[in-house]
Formats: sequence, structure tokens, C-alpha cells
Amino acid sequence: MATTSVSGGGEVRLAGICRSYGDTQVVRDVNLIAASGSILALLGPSGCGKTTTLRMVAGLVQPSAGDILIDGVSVTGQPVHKRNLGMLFQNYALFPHLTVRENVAFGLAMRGVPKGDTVRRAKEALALVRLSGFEDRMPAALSGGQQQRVAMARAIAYRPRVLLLDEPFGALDKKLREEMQIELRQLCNELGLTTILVTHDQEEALILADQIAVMRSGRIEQVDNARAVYERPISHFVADFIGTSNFIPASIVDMRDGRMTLRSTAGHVFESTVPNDFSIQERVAVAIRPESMRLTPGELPAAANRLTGTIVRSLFKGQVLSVWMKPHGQAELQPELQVSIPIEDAARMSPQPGETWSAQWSAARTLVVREQ
Amino acid sequence: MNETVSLPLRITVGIILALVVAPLLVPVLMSISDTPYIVFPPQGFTLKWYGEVLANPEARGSFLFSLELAAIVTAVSLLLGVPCAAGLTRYRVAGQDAVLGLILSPLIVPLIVTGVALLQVFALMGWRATLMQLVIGHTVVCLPYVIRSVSASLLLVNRSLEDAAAVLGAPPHVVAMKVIWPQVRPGILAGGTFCFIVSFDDYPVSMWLADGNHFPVPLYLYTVIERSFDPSIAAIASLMIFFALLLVLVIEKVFGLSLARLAS
Repeated sequence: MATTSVSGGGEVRLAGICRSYGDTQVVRDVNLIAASGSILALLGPSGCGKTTTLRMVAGLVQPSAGDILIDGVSVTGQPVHKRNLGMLFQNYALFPHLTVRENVAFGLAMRGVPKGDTVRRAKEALALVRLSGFEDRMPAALSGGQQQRVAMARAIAYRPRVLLLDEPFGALDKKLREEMQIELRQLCNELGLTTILVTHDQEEALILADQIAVMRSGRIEQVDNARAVYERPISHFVADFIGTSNFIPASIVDMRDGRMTLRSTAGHVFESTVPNDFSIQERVAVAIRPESMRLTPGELPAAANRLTGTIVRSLFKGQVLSVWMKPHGQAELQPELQVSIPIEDAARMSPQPGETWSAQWSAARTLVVREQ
Repeated sequence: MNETVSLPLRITVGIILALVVAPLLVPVLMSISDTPYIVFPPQGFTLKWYGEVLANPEARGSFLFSLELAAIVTAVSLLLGVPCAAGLTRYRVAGQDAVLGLILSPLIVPLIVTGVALLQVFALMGWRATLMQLVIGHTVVCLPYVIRSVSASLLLVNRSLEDAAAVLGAPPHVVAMKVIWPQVRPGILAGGTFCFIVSFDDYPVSMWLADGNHFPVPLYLYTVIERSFDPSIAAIASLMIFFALLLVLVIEKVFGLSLARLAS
């Protein structure tokens, strides 16, 4: 095991940062804290401002307003090269004219580390990413995964306070990506590095991050731990972006003892026991994950959290059988209700197109989200 | 590393190289002919024509002047061209395309027109400074080569390398030296080399601007052809060819001006 000691990450705080280009506001009033030693993911579709936010932390983009603090000290006016951060870029950004060792040693050399120490510490960093013996290769002679590791070694060799990752695994194939994600998570935890990760891949965010900040049009839509974001999304956008959901617009008719009753315009009644902060007047939707629903053949008597409809099609997806159902009298449901049947149940239960089936789910699995 | 090259491609490349190189061999062969007039194929072998040319103070003077002129023009063109190319590729400037078009226009306008136009302007100004005027004339013609090759290499520069270096702790001047320079060096050297050779070979612009004391080699060669027709003309031409070859070889050896590097 290499001897690089725990560097102890800094706490990163974004206080109301904004960035506009001309009239276009790319980042609007973002407030976030990445706790020391934790991994924070900025998750959102392309153009949501997540990369700009990361680049503001790095100092590559100046915020139009707001403040960025590391360990309570403002770094907003500090030039990039003085911030002592590590960063991984989407295309790795290895220096093509330098060897692997020279690449990894670059940050150390910039800090005036003596030559002998530089060589030793570059070696240690390469050992951490399991690339010992590659010191004298040129980056072009390495595979994508190896280049990614060199970039990683380069970013941690000088023990930065904070590690910034900009879609770091986008260029890798799925299998390698998963391996690297697990390795990265281990490495960050081992080194106690505060890490901010930018990604549009919800799975990557769920695997890597302690906290996920879902971004939309330059704003933070929701910040929570990975599990809570998945299990208690606050808005249609979040529920749709992380995982798959069926949405039914509804109005709140009753709230008591932690149980909320809602009604759709078609008159269906839903009940939810998932905690939320909505009040009676708000425009909301009921969101149900495909895997939360259970199907039974034929029609069932009307009740809360139950819909009857006609099967439209089914699709084998490996671990699940996805079934689409057109509910009776639910014109507002677009396009159709999607239900997942675990593949072990699919053998004894395979709904055919044209048949009438009923879907039901528990109040504990009925999510209530803000409509747009 | 070496991919196999198909036979038709080899033949095509061979023919093209032969067409480019063969005409250059003709004056070289003529220059060693032991006859008092130019013949091809050469008869006998002698190097006396080279000796004669090198012993001739006029020829030596012209050659040295052309070297001096080309060196000044290259320096001026790089000094103007590199920042200009950087500005045109790295920033959005109003009228960018117009500026680029204007700079590149000497490539389109016949050189002889550029030369006579410059002469008119200088004459109207009543300005008499031949060296300066030659430098200006050549720079106008050479600048496009610098701008083109430097712009091309700047466009290939990977901007995220600069970001990476800065995040790693490199202040701007270190980023420029350690990250940008290695990437644009081939382009700057290629531009400079072209510039030097274009200036060294120029006839149509020099023709209008030179005088007896500032007499570049191509003009000298032309006057010699008018006066006599012995193989010393071929010797001068050969020396110019050797010089250009030598220049390219030295730069290739010292700086590695290979296409592979330009592309990577």
C-alpha cells in the first residue's frame, strides 16, 4: 500500500453564486455545501449550469455574483493556480508532450517540491491508481482507462484540498466506467478528499455521491443524500430525471396524521404516506415508480392507489419485463402507465396486449411532487 | 507504426515527387558542365562555375543581402504574425473576417501588382529607404504564410490542457511556456521557414523596390542571364536550391518540423 497520507479535504461552500453570459443567466443563486471529505454530485441535463458551477469553484470562470469559500475562506478573487485544487477533465487533458511521470509530477514541480521528492511522490500517486511501471510511457500509448488513472494520479499527487470531477467517465465504456467509479469512490474515501462531481448520469451520481444536488436551468432543484433524492423527489423534474416515474396531476384534498389524500381530474383517489411539505393549494402530481406497482389480472373494485386499464405492449429488458397499460378513463395520463415486473414473476404472469389488468401500489410508495 | 501503403498510392506519390524534384535536378546537372555555355545533359565535370560565382563579389554581395533581408522579414513577420494569429483564433473581434481577408489578400493579388502598388505609394510619399521598403514589401507577401500556419496550430491547441495546467498550479507565463509553446512551436517554425524561403526567392516584389546597393539574389540571377549564358547561372540557381534544402533539413533535424507532430 502506498504511503500517501490522508490529506484532509476542505469544506467547500457556495454562497449565492450566479453567472451570466450577456443576457443569459447560466447559474442562478446556487447555495451549496460540500462537507469536508464528502462527495457531492451536481446532477442535471446538459445546459443546466453544472459545469459552469464546477468551473467557478476551480476559478476557471468568475462568478457574476456570490462567494465561494473553502474552509471558510473566500477564494472568489483568487487566481486558478493559487487555489490548490485537483481536477479531472472529461477528455483527461494529459499533456501529450510529457511522459506519465512528468504529467503526474507537474503539480508537484509547480509547488517547488525538490526533484527527488517529486519522483518519489509521483511514483506513490501512480501506485495508488495501480499504474506502477508506466512512468516512462507517453499518454498516447495508454488506453482510455489508463489515461483516466494517470489524470487521477496527477490530480491527487500534490494532495489538493478539493477534487473536482467534470464528467470524468463519459468517454469510457460501461463496464470500465463502473470499475473506475468504484475505484474512485474508494480512493476519495481513503484520502478523505472533498470531491465535487459533475455528471448527467443519474446512476453515476447514485454510485459515487454522498450528496446529490439536482440542477435545472441554472438553479438547484433539490439537494439531499442519494437515497432520499431517489425515494423522495420533490418535483416532477427530479422524479423524472432520477429513475423513471408515472405522473398523474392531482389536487390535494385532505391531509391528516401524515396521510395525504389526492384526487386526479378523472376522479381517481390516491393516498400517500411519504412525508412532504406541500399545502392544499399547491399544484402537484402523484408520481409512482414502475417497480412500485403490482399487476393483477382482470378488473378490481375501485379503491385508492389502484388503476385498471388495457395492456398496450410489453418489453423484455433483462432484469425486468416492462409493461405499458392504458388506464380506463385517464385521459390526462401521458402517455401510458409503465409497470415493471421482476423477471422471476414474469414466468407465471405475462400480461398480453388487449387484456384488462389492474395495477395497485401502497401509500408508502406514492410520491407527491411539485408539478413543474 | 508504419502502415502498409498500397502499390497504386506508392506509384502516385513517386510520380508526384519525380515531377517536383526532376526540374530542380536540371540546373544542378547543368552547373557541373565543363563547357563555356549551358548544355543539357552536361558534358564533363567541373566545379569551377561554383568557384567563379563564390569568388564574384557581386554574387556574394547579393547572396548575403538576400540572407539579411530574409532574416529581417522573417523576424518582422513572426513578430506581427504570431500575435495577430493568436488574436484572430482566440478572441471574437469585430471585423475579424475582414482583417483575415485583408492579410491573406497578397496570396490572391498577383505579386507583380502588389510590388508596383507599393512602389507607387512609396514614390508618392517621396520616401527613399530601400531596405525598409523591401522589408515592408516582403513582409506583406510573407505574412499570410505565418498567419496561416500559426493559426492552424493554434486552432489545434487543446484548451483544456491550459485549464489543467492552471488548476495544477501553473501561473499564466508557465502555462504559455510549458503548455502552449510546445503545441504551437511546429506551426511557428513552419511559418517562419516558409516566410524565409518566400522572401529569399522573391523576384516580382523586389524588382520594383530594389536598387543597386540592395540587390537580392533573384534579381542578380536575372541580370546575369541577360548578360551571359554560361553555367555560372546554373551554379547560382543550384546554390539557391541547396540553401533552401539545407534550411528545411536543419529545421527538421533541430526542431522536428514533421507533419506527424503538427497533427498530434
